[in-house]
Amino acid sequence: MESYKIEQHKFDVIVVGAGGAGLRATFGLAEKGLKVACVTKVFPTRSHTVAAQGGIAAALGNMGEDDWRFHFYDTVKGGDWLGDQDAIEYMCREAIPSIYELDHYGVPFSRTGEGRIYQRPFGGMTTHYGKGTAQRTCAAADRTGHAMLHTLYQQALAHDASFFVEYFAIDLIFDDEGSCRGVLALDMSEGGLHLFRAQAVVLATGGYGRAYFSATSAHTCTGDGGGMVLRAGLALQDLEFVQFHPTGIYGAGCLITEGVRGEGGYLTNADGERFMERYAPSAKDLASRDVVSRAITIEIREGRGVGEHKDHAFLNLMHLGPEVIHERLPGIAESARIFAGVDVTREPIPILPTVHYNMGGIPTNYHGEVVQKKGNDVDAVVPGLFAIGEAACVSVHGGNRLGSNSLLDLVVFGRAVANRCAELIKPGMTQRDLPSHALDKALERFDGLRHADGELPTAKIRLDMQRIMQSDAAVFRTGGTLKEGCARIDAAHASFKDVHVSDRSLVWNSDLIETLELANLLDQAVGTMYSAEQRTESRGAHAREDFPERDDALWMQHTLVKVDEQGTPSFDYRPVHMFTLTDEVEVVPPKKRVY
Amino acid sequence: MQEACIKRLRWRIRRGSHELDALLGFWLDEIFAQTNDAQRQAFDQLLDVSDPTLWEWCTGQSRPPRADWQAIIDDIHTRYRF
Repeated sequence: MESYKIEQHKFDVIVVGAGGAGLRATFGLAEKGLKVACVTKVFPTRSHTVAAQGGIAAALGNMGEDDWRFHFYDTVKGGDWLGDQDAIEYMCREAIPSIYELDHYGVPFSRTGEGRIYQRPFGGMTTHYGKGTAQRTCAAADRTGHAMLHTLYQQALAHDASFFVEYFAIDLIFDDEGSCRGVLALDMSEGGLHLFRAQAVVLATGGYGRAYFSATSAHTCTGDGGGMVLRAGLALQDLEFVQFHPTGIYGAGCLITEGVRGEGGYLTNADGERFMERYAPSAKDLASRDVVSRAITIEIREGRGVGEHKDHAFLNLMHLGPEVIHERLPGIAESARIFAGVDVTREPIPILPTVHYNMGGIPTNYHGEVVQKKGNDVDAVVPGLFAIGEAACVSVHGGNRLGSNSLLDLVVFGRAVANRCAELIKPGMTQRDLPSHALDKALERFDGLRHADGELPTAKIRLDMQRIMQSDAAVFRTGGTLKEGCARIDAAHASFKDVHVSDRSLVWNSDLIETLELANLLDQAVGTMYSAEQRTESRGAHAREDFPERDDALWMQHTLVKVDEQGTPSFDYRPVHMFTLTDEVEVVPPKKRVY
Repeated sequence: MQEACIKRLRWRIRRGSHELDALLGFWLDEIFAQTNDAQRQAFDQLLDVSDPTLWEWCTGQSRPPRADWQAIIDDIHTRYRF
């Protein structure tokens, strides 16, 4: 193996990823007086958070009555009772100060005539425990995600956080006691390796949507944190829960925001019928995403799909009129024109449920500390390791995330990690030396992939994986196809041994980076397929045709999956937290989920 | 344009959204080969623009301040097929 010169850095905390969660954490940690560096493979304001247009939920009550307890109830129900209720209480309660802080930091939220933050309705968000429609979602026009990134990045810079931009995180570094002590990264512009040592590492690396063929996620969503965690021998949680957004543009996968339905857009089938009225009589088109995605899929299966192949549905917004469309939903008309070739003022948009979000991820408690099951301790903290945002599974979204709860998750838990680290970590504390072999495994793997000289191009293996996930871990799943899916994803994982990297350089080597990313995706694809296969019930986004009912007696628990180097999964379980943090809100006991 | 710069473009067309990945990736994959150095430099500089602004330009909600950037956007507009 080549001997690599490694530049060392020492910080109090390293944050990996500069999306909404990573930047909120970076800024918060710097504000608390900790020496913090953010390591990110893409420029901060180009993280996938930028694509979040819909908004961010908080029970501010600016547009009518609201209460964080209603938000709590909606989130528990939306997650189909897989969410940890202590964490959900924390998120919904802390939502309110978190939003006012963002407003104070400079996020330009849209306003009402009276100057209060404007709030719109969103799927699954109700008042009085399902009785009314809540207007809970705050937005900065159609740029909420970007406005948040921009503001938080400026705040982080103002508080002297360091940024290492276009650095790709290769692996986490642990000591022999199992504490996370840093991260090894590649500077893509110069080609050097860097070891970032720290008292704590915060993974804010996002989801792994690119494991699927048709996903609304940007190409950069390759779940690098989840991959690193699996390679460290730790378990991920609830990977079988993959959210399909009901309205991806047919063929292109581009997202049409739920805000369209919030503003009055509705779905129709081949008969021109507003079919959501049958599936969700009260919430209709604003029922939660898994419900709408399944309804569309059933309409198509039963022969009422639209188009030549009767394989999609229509989203109508013609009736809203060009003024509302252009004022309230800017960019939607143009997106539909470019990616579907339709004029939304005259024609409906062809749509299809498209992979959108990973509810599962790195298991954490509500402080953002990574937890594992160790013996009888089901909440054992991994020292020095935190995870937040889509990379994490707190679990606040349970089996299905509500729209506008993801930006909220980023901000609330980014902030929580900063608060927790400020309690646990003293600035500038001496860091013990690492054992001399601490980097061996990571370097060996990196060098091996850099010189990978097999027969299969990275893109070929990636496409195989994406097609397998798309066909066998879809909106509806069944035992037979999942078993086949497991065998097929095993084969795809095994084929990675035969990967070929054509570029041996270290500078701007996209081929190498995409190969490192593929390794991360593959492990999580295996984890997802097998987790879906073993969960013999339907809950939230996980819909089994052979087990159509939710089975609380057996399955009201989190799946923990490890995937070893050979791609072999192993399972364990953690109980769902059916308790709250305070007596200000009561546990919502499981009941049938109807909208 | 130097090899390293071209390789850097390949990374920097990675954006925050699937839509911009598709449109800018299309330009690099399908149009780049037919362009001259000045156009390539313009594209390189275009990639420094923020995603929402690029999106506004790509969707015709507003126009870029530079003619060479508008030419790139126009190329994407006329030639991109979903």
